[in-house]
Amino acid sequence: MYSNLKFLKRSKDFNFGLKPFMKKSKFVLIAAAVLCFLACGASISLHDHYAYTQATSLKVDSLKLMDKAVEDYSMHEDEVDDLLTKIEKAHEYEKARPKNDETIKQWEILKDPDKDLLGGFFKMWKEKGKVSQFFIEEKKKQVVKAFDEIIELESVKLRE
Amino acid sequence: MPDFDEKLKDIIDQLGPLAKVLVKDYMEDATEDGKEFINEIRDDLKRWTEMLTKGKIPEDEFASLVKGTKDLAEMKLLKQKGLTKIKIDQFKGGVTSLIVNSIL
Repeated sequence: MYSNLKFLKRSKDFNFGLKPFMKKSKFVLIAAAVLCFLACGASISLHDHYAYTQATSLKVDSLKLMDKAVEDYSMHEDEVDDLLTKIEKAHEYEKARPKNDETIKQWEILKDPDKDLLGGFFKMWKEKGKVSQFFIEEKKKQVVKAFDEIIELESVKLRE
Repeated sequence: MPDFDEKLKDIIDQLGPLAKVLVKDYMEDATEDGKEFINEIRDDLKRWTEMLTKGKIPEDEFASLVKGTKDLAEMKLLKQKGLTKIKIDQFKGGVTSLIVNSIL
């Protein structure tokens, strides 16, 4: 028993020669982790040219319609309905794309009548009948920025 | 297999600098974007408050403009989340190229 203890004390390396094996295992483990990471696939949807074109087109249509809010809502109700339908379709298109959560939520915020971007603007116009020129100009700036967030994200998504 | 071990070590050693470059670029862009947004909000709030006190804009429209900035901040945050994911995918692409180039 004493000889065993002496042997243990002598050996500083309690791995008993396993160090090279453990070093190699570390590399293999790291390599395996990297391969798993790569195998997970894309984290976000790829760039979609149609989605990008839709967003830019709807931005122009929205700003043009907002300008008319100095007039009574009833005169433009059909135009508002048409635009909101197009926006709904754009939103549905985004929902069908996989790994597209951020863009989907962006459209939801933009069109939500209970928030204060495009959807909220049309709701206010409807409720009040008309809104002030100053409000239109300032809200247009916000809507432009909102659309730009959607467009910018889409434009930097990776291509296939 | 010393040659394989060396190649593997070489790949792993290059992962760190690759990640650093991507993260640094992203952080700089995000910080700049954030600063610009805060400056814009400050100027907007000042302008709107002036118009409200002068009676040029009703309270409900003022409130909508203020709340709109919160919605915009959410939109920006979502964009930043998306950009983070794109950076991750770029990193994955970089790692794949590293591995392929090391093997060939």
